[in-house]
Amino acid sequence: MESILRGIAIYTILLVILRLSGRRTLAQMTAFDFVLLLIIAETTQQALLGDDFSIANAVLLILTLFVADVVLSYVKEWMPSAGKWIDGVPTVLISLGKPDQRAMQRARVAMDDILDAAREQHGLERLDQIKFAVLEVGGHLSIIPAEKISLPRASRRTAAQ
Amino acid sequence: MNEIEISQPPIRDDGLQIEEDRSFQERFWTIERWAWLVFGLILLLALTGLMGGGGLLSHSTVDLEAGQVDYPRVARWESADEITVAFASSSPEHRLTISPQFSKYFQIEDIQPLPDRSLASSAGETMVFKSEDGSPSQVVLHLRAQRPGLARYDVSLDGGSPVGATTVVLP
Repeated sequence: MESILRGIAIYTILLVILRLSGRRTLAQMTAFDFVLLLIIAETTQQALLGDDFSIANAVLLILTLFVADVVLSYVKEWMPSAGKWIDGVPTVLISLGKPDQRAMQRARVAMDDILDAAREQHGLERLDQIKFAVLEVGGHLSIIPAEKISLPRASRRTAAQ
Repeated sequence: MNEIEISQPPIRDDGLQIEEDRSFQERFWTIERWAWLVFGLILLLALTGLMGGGGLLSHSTVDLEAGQVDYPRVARWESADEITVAFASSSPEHRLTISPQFSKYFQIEDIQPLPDRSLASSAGETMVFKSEDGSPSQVVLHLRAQRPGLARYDVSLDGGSPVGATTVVLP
């Protein structure tokens, strides 16, 4: 019984802390964030297992975590409002090329982060080439370019052949 | 079987089809900031010792006629802690009695110095320590909390009147 209670407690605590830390906290994934994630995993592992290193305990914990995840996905389906609290909602940071300074500041997203995502996703060079920038629920930025990047005619013909 | 209706996100004035609930997000950002404050307060409490694991306020001292007992005010489940007993009087034999409630929450892993003998009674467990030169001595009980909760127990020294001690065992 203790294993299941531990599993549920740790699952809930991690969910609450990660959610309240903000979407950008671990989504940026710098080298340091990766190390931080490993440390959190190691710390959590000790709290989960206690001094019981048996296979039975490990199996119970794995099942508890998976079942908790499945239950949570049903809760989100049945109650969309709960889904908002658990996952959050997307935030539009740039709309029709106009940055929303307040949203960026509250969501802790710098202009550099948006330009970084724009370069990475579409090879965009400047801010005026971005039509929309959205901070998604997963914490990553999605960029919609101002103009659809079309291939030159010659390239299109080659591609069609 | 009922089919689940899949709703589509609304199309905004700027043409983006997205379920952006800005009022909810604003509320959540405010909650987030308050939560960070609470995180900070928890860390401050931990630094003072009120979350166990050492620190100025993690232990409490109670004075008895026959000496002094330093016990954990806050302990952590499955973590090591200690009780230090300092006998004030010079005597060839000292007695430490701890009520039975204590053993429900704590396992004694080691005692330094080891008692000469241990006696069980309705008042609890009495440990008898011998002192070779009769000088005041100190005894350290190394403990490990066995369950979370509020541990209330009595401690008495050299057969004196018992004094209550309370330890919060954090999960």
